[in-house]
Amino acid sequence: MTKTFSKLILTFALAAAPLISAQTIAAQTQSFKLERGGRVSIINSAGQITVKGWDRDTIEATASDDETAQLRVQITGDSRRARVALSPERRYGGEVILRVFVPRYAEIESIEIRRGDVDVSDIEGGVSIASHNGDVMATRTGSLKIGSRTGSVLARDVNGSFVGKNFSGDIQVIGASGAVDISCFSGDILARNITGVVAVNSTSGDIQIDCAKDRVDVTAVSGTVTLTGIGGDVDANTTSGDVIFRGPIRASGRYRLKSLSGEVTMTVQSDAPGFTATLSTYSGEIETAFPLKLDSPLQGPVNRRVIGRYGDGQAQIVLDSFSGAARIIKGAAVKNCP
Amino acid sequence: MKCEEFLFVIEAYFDGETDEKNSQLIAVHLSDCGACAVEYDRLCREQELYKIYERDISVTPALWAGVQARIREEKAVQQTGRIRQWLADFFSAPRLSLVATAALVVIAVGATIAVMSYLNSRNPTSNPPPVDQTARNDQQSNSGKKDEPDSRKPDETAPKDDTQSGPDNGGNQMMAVASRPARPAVKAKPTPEQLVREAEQKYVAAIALLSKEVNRRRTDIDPAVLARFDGALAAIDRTIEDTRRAVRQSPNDPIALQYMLAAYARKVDVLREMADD
Repeated sequence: MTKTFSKLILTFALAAAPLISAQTIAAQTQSFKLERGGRVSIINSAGQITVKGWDRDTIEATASDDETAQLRVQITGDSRRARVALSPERRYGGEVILRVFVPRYAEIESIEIRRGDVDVSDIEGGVSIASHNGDVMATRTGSLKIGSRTGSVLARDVNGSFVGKNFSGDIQVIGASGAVDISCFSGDILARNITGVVAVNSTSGDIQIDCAKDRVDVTAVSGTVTLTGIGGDVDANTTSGDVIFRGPIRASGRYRLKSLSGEVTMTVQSDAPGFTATLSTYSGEIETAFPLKLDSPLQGPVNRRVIGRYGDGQAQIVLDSFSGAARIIKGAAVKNCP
Repeated sequence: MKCEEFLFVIEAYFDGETDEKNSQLIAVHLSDCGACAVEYDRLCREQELYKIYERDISVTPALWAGVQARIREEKAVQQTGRIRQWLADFFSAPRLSLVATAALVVIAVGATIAVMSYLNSRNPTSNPPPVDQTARNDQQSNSGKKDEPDSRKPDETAPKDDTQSGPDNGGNQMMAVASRPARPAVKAKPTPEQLVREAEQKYVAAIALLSKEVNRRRTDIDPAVLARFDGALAAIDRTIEDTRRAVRQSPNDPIALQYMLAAYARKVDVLREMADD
């Protein structure tokens, strides 16, 4: 009897499975009002999180997957602080696509995901993302903070500051109106069109900074550092990669480029303002395309240092390498930065 | 059902070993408790991961016999190996916590700063004589003064044996001895080479500790990340070797030394980052 009953149940379940699946794929939606200044936190263990700002004053969230399970999105809290999460009734180990629409003025207090990609766009408030394994993309947001373990990070048009920390994966920031602070253990870094101060710390990977209006500080271990169109002072220090600077220098600028075993090359405009250059290398070559009035001449075969003035000597340039060359080269003007 | 109760039976539930009534209670608890749901999810993912590495291997009798024989051999070796292991552990580098390692790094950095300050305060055109030569000079200058009249006051003379003092002067001599200031102990200043060696040893010790910690975790690290990390370390090691060669060739050159210590410091930074992750 029990066996027959069980068989009936099983047969019914199998027959109804397509119907049930169709209902879950059609997804579950919830709506929630959020006032101005309100904050939202969003969590999804695995799958994908998409957050988009819109002109309404409500939060709407949709969750879907292709498993046969009931999905429910829970939006809890009040109109000042809301939390969007899946209920635990979903099938464990499965991946869920969570789509959330929030008012543009919302502040995204946190987006948390263990495994999966995150895509955030059109949020005027600040956004904070914590991802373990997956790519993160943010476009047209307020100040942005991203902490990731593995996966690439891409941020565009950040209206405010950007702080990005990644263990493994590339980080790209294109367009930020505030300061940029990037730490990456393994991955290439690109920062372009940055208005505020740029600070980059990397262990393994190339670093490229283009069109930064303010000061740039770079500390790297392995990889080439390329700085182009920098409007402020520069301090770039790497262990085993080359440091390449291209772009006009300022009359009162301070430029300090150092590498232990790589080459240090500075390409400046032919009509550069006066500068005082200290070029030093222990066992490499020293070259300068500008005629320097030497305060300190070139010394012996090792441990060479040249200190000389060009023009009024106002700007300060220090190029230093242990075993690579230290060079100042004349070059054409770099493309104009916005 | 409470969370503590659930966590106790979570594995049995996953394996389908709980009875029907308990399974229903557990299912209801999972639907209400987010934290327990996360734990269950974690267990499921763990099992999925293990399944990836499952292999269809059948164990033949011969294979099992071979394993048993090796177990018997290893037990015999273990008896003699224990003493060897104890000796190896006794003489091997101590395993310190990251806090202790960080303290060691701070000491190494402090030693570096001390060396740099010492070298930068020196006049680069003259080399101070080593300690033993200075002492020899002092002895010579003292011996040179032997023939000079002793202009020192009586209470500053070298201490005499009290037994030789006469009865009339005993009191005065005792007073002289008592009022004589103690001669300060002569402490030898470390030479630049010693300071450098000390700083280098501290860095090497910190690197050894951190490398051990990182090696323990190598299997947990993504292969692509590991390859980049090894590449970065190899580049730093080449730089360290180049700078050490320069220091050997010019041991009194502070610039070469700065480069060498900077290279060591960078290696420590990289290893710490890897170990801290």
